[in-house]
Amino acid sequence: MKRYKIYFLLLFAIGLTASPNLLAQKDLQINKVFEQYGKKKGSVMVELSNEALGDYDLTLFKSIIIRNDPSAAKLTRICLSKDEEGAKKIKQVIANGVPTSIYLQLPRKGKDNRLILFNESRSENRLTLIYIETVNDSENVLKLLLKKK
Amino acid sequence: MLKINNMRKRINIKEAEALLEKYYEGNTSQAEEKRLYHFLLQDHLPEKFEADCALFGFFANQKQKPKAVIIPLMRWASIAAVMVGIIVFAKTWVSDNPTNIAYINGQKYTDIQVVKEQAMSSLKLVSSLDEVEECVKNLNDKDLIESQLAIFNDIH
Repeated sequence: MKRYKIYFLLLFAIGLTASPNLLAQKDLQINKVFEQYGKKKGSVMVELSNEALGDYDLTLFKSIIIRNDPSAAKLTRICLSKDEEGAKKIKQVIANGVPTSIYLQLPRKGKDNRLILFNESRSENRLTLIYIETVNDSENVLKLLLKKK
Repeated sequence: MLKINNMRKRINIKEAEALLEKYYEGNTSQAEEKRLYHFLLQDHLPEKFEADCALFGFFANQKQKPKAVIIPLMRWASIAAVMVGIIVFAKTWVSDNPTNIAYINGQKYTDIQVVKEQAMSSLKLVSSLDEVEECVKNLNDKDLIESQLAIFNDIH
């Protein structure tokens, strides 16, 4: 009986740590950036789920700001180029041949609309990457989220 | 009833030695072997019975083998059932419980206000208002396609 209890507790722990939000985002390459740099010094990572941000209810909001790390910027660009496949590019700004700003509308996953927002400021050695899941319309989400500043 | 009682009756060391001798000569009955077996199962036996214990232990394990096959199968089946139940339960339960965390320089924050502030500041960094207006326009497929085709028209 003791053994059953141990198995039960172990599985329960695994079930709890495997957040469904993380699982939904697992198919994206940018997940590597969150995983590798999220808890590092010089980074700010945020994860909000089922919370209101601005006037909008988001299923998931994940963002990361990384400062002074060229390798992180390189990895992010590689990941973004892979996630771009099958996605709709809403916006892309290229400076000196390098994308500095990208908005991607990813294919829907279930009932969720998915967005990736990326910005890199070379002068400030800072990159910002945002991943959003929402049941609301992407256009309205962008308007509201980015205007609420 | 008398027979059963006799079988369960413990034997002493001398009787055991005699029975063991008889056993190795192959002259013991089934009932005597059982009595020997029960004798050797006891704790704190003299060292001289160690080899006999090992031999009887081996036979005892062989007899238990069929049990050993059935029990793990049942265990694994029940573990598998528990696993499925837990995964379903955990997924349903966790999906209703929001995760709101911020890591700032590797330090974890769970205060919802701090997390929201950080989320808003990351949004501020992503774009200016003008850029937003511009990109929202691009969401309209028709306009996007027309503007892209226009580039090719200019070339020709």
